[in-house]
Amino acid sequence: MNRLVMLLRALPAIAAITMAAMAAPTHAASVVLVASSFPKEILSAYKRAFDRSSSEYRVEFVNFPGTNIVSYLQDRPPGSRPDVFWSSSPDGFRALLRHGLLQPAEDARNPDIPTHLGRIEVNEASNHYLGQAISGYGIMWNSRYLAARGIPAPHSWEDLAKPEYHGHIVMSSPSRSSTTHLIVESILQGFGWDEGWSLILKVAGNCATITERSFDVPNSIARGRFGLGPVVDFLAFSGKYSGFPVDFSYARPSVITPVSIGLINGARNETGGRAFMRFTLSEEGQRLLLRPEISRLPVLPSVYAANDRPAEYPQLAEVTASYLPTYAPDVSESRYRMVGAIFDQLVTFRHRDLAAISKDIHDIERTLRARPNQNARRAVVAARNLVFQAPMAEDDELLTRKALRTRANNAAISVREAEWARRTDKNMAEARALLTAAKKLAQGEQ
Amino acid sequence: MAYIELNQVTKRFGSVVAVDRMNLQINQGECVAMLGPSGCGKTTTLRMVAGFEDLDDGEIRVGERIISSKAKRYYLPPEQRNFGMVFQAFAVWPHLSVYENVAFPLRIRKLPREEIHARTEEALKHTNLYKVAQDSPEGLSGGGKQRVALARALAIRPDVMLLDEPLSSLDPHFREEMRFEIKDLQRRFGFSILYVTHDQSEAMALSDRILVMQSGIVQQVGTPLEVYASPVNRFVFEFIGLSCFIETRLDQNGMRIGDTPYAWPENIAPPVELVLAGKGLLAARPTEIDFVADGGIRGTVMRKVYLGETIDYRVLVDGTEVRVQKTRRTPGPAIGDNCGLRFSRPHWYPVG
Amino acid sequence: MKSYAIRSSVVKRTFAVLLAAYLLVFLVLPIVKLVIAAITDETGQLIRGPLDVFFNHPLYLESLFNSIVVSAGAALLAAIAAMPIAFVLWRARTRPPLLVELFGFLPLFVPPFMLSLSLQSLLGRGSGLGQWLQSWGDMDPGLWGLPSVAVIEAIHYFPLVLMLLIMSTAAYSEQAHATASVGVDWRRLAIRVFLPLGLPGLGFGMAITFLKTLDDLATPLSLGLTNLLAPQAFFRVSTYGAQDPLSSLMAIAMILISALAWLASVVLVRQGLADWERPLNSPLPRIRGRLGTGGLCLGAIGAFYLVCYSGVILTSIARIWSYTALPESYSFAHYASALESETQAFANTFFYCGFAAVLDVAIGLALAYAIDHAPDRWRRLLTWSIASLLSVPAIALAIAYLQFFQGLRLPLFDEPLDATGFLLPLAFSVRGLPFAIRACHLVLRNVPASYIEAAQFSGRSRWTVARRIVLPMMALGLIVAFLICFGVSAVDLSSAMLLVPSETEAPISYSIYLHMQSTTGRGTGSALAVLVIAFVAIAMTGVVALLRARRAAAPPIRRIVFPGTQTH
Repeated sequence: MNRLVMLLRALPAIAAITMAAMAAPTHAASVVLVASSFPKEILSAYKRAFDRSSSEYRVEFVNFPGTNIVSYLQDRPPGSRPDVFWSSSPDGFRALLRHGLLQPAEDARNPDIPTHLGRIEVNEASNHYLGQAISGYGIMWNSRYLAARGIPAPHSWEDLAKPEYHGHIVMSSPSRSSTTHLIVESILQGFGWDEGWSLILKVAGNCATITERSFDVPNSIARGRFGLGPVVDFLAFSGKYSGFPVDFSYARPSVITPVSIGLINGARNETGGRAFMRFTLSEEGQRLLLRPEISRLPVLPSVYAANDRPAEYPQLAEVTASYLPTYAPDVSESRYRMVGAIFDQLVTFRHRDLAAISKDIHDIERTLRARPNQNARRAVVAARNLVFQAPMAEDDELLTRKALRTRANNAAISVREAEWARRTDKNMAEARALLTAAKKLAQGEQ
Repeated sequence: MAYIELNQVTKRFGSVVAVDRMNLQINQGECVAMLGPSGCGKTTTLRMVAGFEDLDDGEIRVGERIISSKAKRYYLPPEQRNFGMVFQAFAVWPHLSVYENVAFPLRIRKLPREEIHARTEEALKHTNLYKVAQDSPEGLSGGGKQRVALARALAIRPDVMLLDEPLSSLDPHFREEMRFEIKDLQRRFGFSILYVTHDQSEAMALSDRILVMQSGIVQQVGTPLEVYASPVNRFVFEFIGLSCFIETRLDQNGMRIGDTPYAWPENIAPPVELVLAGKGLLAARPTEIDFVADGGIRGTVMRKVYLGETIDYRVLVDGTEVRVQKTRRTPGPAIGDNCGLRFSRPHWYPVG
Repeated sequence: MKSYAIRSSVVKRTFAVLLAAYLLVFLVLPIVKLVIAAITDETGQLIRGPLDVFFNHPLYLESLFNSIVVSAGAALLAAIAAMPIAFVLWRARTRPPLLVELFGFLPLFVPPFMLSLSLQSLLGRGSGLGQWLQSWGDMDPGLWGLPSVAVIEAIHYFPLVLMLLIMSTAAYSEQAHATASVGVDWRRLAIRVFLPLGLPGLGFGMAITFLKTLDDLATPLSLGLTNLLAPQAFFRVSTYGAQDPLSSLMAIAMILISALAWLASVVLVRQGLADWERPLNSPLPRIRGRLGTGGLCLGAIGAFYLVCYSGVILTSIARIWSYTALPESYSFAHYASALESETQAFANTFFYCGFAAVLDVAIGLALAYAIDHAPDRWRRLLTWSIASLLSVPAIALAIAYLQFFQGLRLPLFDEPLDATGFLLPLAFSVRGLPFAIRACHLVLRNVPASYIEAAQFSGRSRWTVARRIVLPMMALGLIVAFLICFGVSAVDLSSAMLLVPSETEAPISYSIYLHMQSTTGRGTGSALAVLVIAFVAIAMTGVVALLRARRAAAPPIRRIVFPGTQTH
């Protein structure tokens, strides 16, 4: 039975390959087999367009997540592998390159696509994989929601910490969502560790809820359940261009990740593969990205000037300008798990308390703006410092070493987590006391 | 020459001996009923003959063949014994039509198509099921279902028919009809019958010989008349027909019920050893006790119940109740009357 | 010639060995390993580090406490809501039609997070009633905190508790009326008759609600709640891997809580069931055509659930629904895309749940047969231990599997076992076993030994006998058993979230959960949810039609729902 399950599971892939093989004798080299992790809308749009444009080739897709592609390719002898890998997973491409499963495809490049967009390197240095689109990060909001409440649209991460957004933001946890992790890490690197955490905690304190999955952020904003939140651009745009009353703004500093396409070493149909790559990088292929259900950012600058571009589609310069120039992937990698763990202990698991304290702080500060009071002011600042602080220094030993998944390491982290949780509880209790005092002082003046 | 022979057949379930060294011969074309209360081992015996249970000792033969033997560790599987079997619960398969139910054993034996058809039709005709052959047995009455079961057993032309309480689940008026039908079929097809029942009248009506069992031990084997008229012990006496037991004190002159004396008439003299022991149990059929105007043992009529054709009396003799049954046409005493009782052919058993 | 006993005992022994191996490998050993992992280090030394961390971590203690309170709260709320309504129906002598009665069991076949998401659409700020009544205050269930889980689970499991109550009391409503007509006060009857009669049903329903709430992962996550044991264990496993001793500890804690709750309910149920099993299982007079109070009550409940689920229903047909009370435009496109794009998820569901259900029915038949033929002492023990399987939470089992099977590679494919999704149907099958055994007991009861013996008598081929006689006679029962196990597995989202290796291999309930969270997929997810509920309802209607066709099989349904009770 297990074999049967496996077999049936592998059936689509096998069927595609068999179909390709059967087609081979009659129309030599006519089928291009592309392994990709993209959703159906994208693939079927490209298939329709490519098959129409090319008389020589037609394309078939096998659905493969980036994480499984290496073992899949290694299991097949050269000559019976798919031709092209197309994915937004930089890790997948790095792994393929390490294992020698890609071949350079310089000839597939579109000369009109620049090698650098702003400071972003589009292609791999030796053209083993080529940038096909880019994704940036920013803030998405529901215009009706904000308008109904008279809240202005935000433009930067710092905006999200403002009192008027309290209870209207929705975000996910970096331990649950890689896009949220990228956003959090870019804030940490852009603002510095301590400043960064302070900002993240303030934003989190303004959140109405912390969702388990990153998708739920654009979803609940689009439906108007919550007002705004940090989101990857194409999720916001696909909502916007599908007719939802939402909008999006790139916030600085941010990271940009490329979507890449590469030719597989040992491809069955190399020339066909190159033809498909050329197509995706061509003007026509790039323009497909602008479709509402796809809404990704092309790497070909001229496309942005096209007539069929939706109004207000983001400008390339605007996007690339938000790129964080000093972003260090190795730093991010070494503390990947710790950032998630800190966020969970301080925010995810304590979110209701954090939100309540945040609200108190906003309320008292509002009162104090009308009627200043030095002592109350000091108490609020002390409370803020207690709650909105990083739990450990940036040079902590746990952050700088690559945390391996050993039991000893896990145990060390678990002990730390328990410490943070206790400290968070203590800090919150103290902050609550300070705020109660501050409230009394502020009201006493009235 | 015995056709089926059970020799020292024994079956144990754990520490319980279900059947204890049983011997039985059944002749060709004979019908033997095994009679006894539930749990006496009669069904276990039947299942051993059928091949559903192994033997813990002894052997069973059919004709010259051994079909089960402990010593030889030989067991012929049930389906090769060529027996027919009918179960109390009918066991008529609800998802097959009447015809298919009957034809199933033949199909499974891979008989030629024409023969299956011929035999099935024959069995259906003889059991009056021909009209409902294509119906589902679910719609039939209990008697109808049991007929299907019978037809199914008949169709394989069995040497022996094993019937496990086949009539117990039927309405009383069906039972009688079915008895005759079974008997009729036996006459026509000539098979032997081993019949399990706890109903003595059924056993009497059907069988050539009756075997009475209790706690795994055979009590008596004989023709219905033998078993009824000469029960070997109190158990058999009580199990076959109505009975009335009276504890008596005995001496040279006669017997006493309580303190009421009764001088011996010739015909009811108890065995000597009981007289020597000074007490004995008098067993009489209520119909075999007569009222007499003078003499006899004296008692008072306490109750008189009309049961249709018969009248049931309870007569109190010095504290002991005696049950008497007389036909409606025999004149009898009224409630409260003093009357005399005479035992015509009592049996004597030791007390206790 | 081999003897009858020897021939069958070879088969029996093989079965017994296979059965024991299955239970050992897929239940006992993983749980033993779970305990060992929680209290020893790599070298096998006893350690208390994880225990220290667990008991010094305020969050974990709080989660433990919250889990118990929320689960008990859900059970209590459901019971408090169900009791007066059941009493009103009892007093009105309304016995719902079989189909409605079966719909009471829908909660077992529909995952509760659907209700949570529907209520979010309905009461959230952005849509439905919540948008309309916004000036009155924020009603989004995502902002109620912990009570939201208790309330949603209570609403979800209420029909089950209600139906169980009705079933355990209905037999005596006529007698109660007779008693009332001679002047006995209804209040007295409620306390003296209705309550003791209803106790078994109530106890069982509350136990199920408690266990399922404790085990539920998707509902708290959909509400953004994480300080409960299930989400904490899930987070630990997904960040630290399954070898993490703290997640083992949480799994063990969940098993212990469940077992205690189950035991408590069994004590309750047992008291009553000894007396009321007969009325429970005898066919009951069904009073028809009397609408009145009872009919109104049932109608109101139906309407309430329609409103509750209107969030999902509207979302499934809405094109754009953002910050307006009702959707701006409607279309059936979501249904088209659900049917078109989710074939994989449907296929996965059929593989996982179908495989699990087939396994369950096979094992259930064997076990039911074994229990029927076991000596009394063993029979009790077996019945009890199988019923107590109900108290192994899916999350705990999934964690135990991940630990136990980690590093094992699948022969032939040379893939790690935990990356194949092969563990999922096995976990499903263990979880479905208590239900399977109840169903199979009834199946066996429908085929008395003499029916098979009569067939054996006919000829030599055992295979033919099995195919032509035994299987057809059990067919209906087996189909019902299969459907029950299939349904129970299909909603087991907690195992799926931990054991599914990738999202493309997810069964339908997980797929719905995933869909529900993306902007464009929400409609598709809702459409899928509506389709699934419709499918379950249609399946139930089909079963009822079949049961009608064979009335004899009707009373057993009631037996299936009391897996903790003795058959003899």
